[in-house]
Amino acid sequence: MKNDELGQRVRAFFATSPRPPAPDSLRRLPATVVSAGPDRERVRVPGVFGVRRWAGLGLAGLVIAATLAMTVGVRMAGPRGGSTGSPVAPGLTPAGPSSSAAATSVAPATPAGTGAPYSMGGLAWQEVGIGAFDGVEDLAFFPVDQGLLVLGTSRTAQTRLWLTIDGSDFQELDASPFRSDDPVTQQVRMTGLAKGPAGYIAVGARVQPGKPGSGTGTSSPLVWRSTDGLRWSAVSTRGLPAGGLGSVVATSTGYVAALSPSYSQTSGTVSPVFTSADGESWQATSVIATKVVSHAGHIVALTSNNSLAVTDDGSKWTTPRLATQVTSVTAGPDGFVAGTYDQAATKMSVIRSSDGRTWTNAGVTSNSSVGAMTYAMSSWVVLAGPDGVHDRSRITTSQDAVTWQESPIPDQVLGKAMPGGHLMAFRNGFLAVMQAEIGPGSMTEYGPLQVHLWWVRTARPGDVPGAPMPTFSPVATPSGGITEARAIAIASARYPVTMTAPFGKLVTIGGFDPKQTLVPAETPVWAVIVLVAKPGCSGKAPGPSPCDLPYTSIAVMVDYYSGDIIEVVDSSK
Amino acid sequence: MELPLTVGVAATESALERFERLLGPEIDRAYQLAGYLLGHASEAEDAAGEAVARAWDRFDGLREEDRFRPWLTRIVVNVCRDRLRRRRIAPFVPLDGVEPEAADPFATVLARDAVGRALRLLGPDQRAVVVLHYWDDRSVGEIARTMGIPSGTVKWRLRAACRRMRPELEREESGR
Repeated sequence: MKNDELGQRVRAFFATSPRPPAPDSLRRLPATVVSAGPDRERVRVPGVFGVRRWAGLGLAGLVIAATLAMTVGVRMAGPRGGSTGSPVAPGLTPAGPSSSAAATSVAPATPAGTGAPYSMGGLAWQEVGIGAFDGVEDLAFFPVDQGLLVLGTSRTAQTRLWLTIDGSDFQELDASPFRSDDPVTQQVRMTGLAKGPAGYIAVGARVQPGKPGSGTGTSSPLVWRSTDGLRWSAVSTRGLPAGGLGSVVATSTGYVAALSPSYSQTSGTVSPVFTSADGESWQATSVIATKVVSHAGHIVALTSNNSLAVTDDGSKWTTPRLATQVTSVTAGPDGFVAGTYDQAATKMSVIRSSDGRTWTNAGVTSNSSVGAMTYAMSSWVVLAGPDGVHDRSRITTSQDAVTWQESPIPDQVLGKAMPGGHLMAFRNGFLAVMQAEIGPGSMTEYGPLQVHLWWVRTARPGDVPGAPMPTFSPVATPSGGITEARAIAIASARYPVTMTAPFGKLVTIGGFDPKQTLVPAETPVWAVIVLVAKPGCSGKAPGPSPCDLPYTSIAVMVDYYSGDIIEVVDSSK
Repeated sequence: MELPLTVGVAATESALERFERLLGPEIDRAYQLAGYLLGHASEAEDAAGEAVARAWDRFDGLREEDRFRPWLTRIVVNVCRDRLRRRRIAPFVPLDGVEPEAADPFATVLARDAVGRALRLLGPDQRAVVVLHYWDDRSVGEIARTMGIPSGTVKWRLRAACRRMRPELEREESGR
C-alpha cells in the first residue's frame, strides 16, 4: 500500500466518522471557573475544569551543545539547569510531623512505585517515583526545610512540582506559578533557590528557545517567593536586565544572584552579580559572573574571566590568586570545590577551599568526561561519562578528591538511560537523575525523553545483585556495506579530528528531520559525528565565555554501500 | 482585518462574553478533535474542558479574534498529547473481546475499523498530526503553524505514522 493510498484510506475513514456535538457542560465556563465582576477572576475547582495544572518547563535546548558536551566531556560538568548552588548536606533528616502536615494540606501524595535495589560496586541503585514522573523529561532538586522540592520539566508540557521527605513518596504541589503560556514555545525554568531574611526566594528564567544549536533563544529573569517553601508566587522584579537567572544564595541581609550566560555562535553575554534585600528590587554589583554558590556564610562567584570572586555580604568582593582557569565551582559541606583547566596539559584539575579565599590543589582528574558531581556519603561523588576507555557511565568517588575509586552502574540503570545525568546528595546517599529517549529525535535535538530517578546508597546484604553491562551481538545490518571504522576513517580524512574520537551511527536518513538533509529517505548511511574547532576559539579553555564550547559538531554522511561522503551537516549553520 | 480584541466591534462585551462568543462555534470541533486523539468520549470531555479552562486562563494573551481557532486547537492538542504521555493511554480501543460502550461514539468508530486500530499504534505526536491532517483537513503548513513546529517535522511525523499504520491496514486488506 503506497502512502497516498493509505492517506486516502485514512481520509475516507474520518469522512464517514461521526462528529458528535460537545456535551452541554463544555458550552459555558462554570461559575466556579469564572466569576462575574469588573474583571475576570480565575478559580480552580476540581472536576472537569479542575485539572491539575502541571506546568512545564522545558528542557528545550537539548541541542547539539549537549551532545557535544557529552562527547567532549570537558565543560557542562556540574549541576545542570535547575540544580541549586547549595547541595543538601549528607544526612539530611526527614522532616517532622508538623512539616508533613503542612505538605499534605497542599496536595495528596502522588502514588509512586519503588523498584528493587540493585547493588554493584558497593552502591545500591533503587528507582523511586515510578509512575509519578510519567511524561517528565528532567528533574531538578531544591532543598527546603520540609525535605526536597522536585521540579519536573518537559519541552512540551507544563512544569510539575513535588515535595519528597523520604525520597520515595512524592507529594504533588501547586506548580501554577511556574506555568508557561505555551510550554512548546516558551519555557519557564527554576534554576536556584535560597532561604534568607525575606523567606524563600527562587530564581529562574522564561526561555524562548531558538533554532536548536543556533544560540538564538532569548531569556528573561523570573523570581518567585515563598514563606514555607511549598506555596510559591511570582514576584515582579526591578533592576534585572534581560537574561535568565541561574543561581541564587542568601546572606544575612538578603540575596545574591547571578544570571546565566547566553551564547550565540559568535558572541556571549555575561552580566553582573545582583543583590537584593527582598527579592524584588535588585542592584548590580561590580562583579561579572555566571554562578554564585555559598558555604558557611561565604559566597563564591565564578567570574566571566574564568576566575573566582569572594564575598560574605554581597557588597565587598575580593579575588583570590589562582594559577589556573576555573571552569566550574560548587559547594559542599566541607567547603568549595572548583574545577580548573590546565591549558598546557589539557587536563581538568580540582582545587578546594573552606572559605573561598585560600585554595589548595586537590587532585587531577582524567581528561575524560566529568559529569555531574555532588558530595554524599562523606565523599565527592562524580558521574563520569563514557570516554575512549569506558563504554559506559560510571560513578567515581573520593574522600579527598585526590584518590578516586570507580563503581560501575548496574545495567538495570544504564539500560534505559542516555549518557549523562545529574546527582543530588540526599539523606545518607544521593539521587541520580537519568533520562531515556523514548521517541525519535533529530540530529540536533533529542526526541521525547522520560526521566528516571534513582536513589543510591551504600549496598547492604539483601540487595539484588546488579546486572553487568551485557555484551551485544552485532546489530544486523545490510550486507555489502562498509564498516563503521571505515566510515570514520573516510570522515576523518576529510575533517581531521583533534579533540576526541569521532563516532559513527548507521542510520537511514529517514530517521532524521528531512529539513536537515538532502539525502533521500531510506538511504542507509553512516552518520559520523566529528568535532571541529570554532573559528577564534582555538587554544581557549572551555569555560564561561563565547568559547564555552569551543568546538562544533558536524555530521558526515557516508554512504553505507559506496563509502562516498554524500552530505555534511554542520549543526552551527 | 480583525481588530484587536480590546478595541474590536464588541468593545462593550465583557471578557467572558467575548470568550464564550468565540468559543461557541468551536467547542464541537474541539471536543471531536479531543475524541479522536484520545479515543474515548469521557476522556475527550475532560480534555476539552481542561483546554477551555486553559484558554480562558490565558485569554488575555490572545490579541486577534481570527487566531482563536488555531489557538484553541493548539491548546486542545497539547492537552491531549500531555494526557497521552502522562497516562500512557496507548490503546484507542478497549482490549480485544471487550465491546466499547455504545454511548461512546469515538471508541465505537475507532474499534470497528482497521484505521482506528492502526491509529492506536501511533505515539501522541504522530497521532496529533494524522488527526489534524486527515480528520480536520489541515495542511502541513497549517499544522506546523498550529503546533509551532517546522513543516518538515510535520511531514516526517506523517510519513512515520504511515509507516507505522501500513502493516495494520495491509493485514486487513489481505484478510488476515
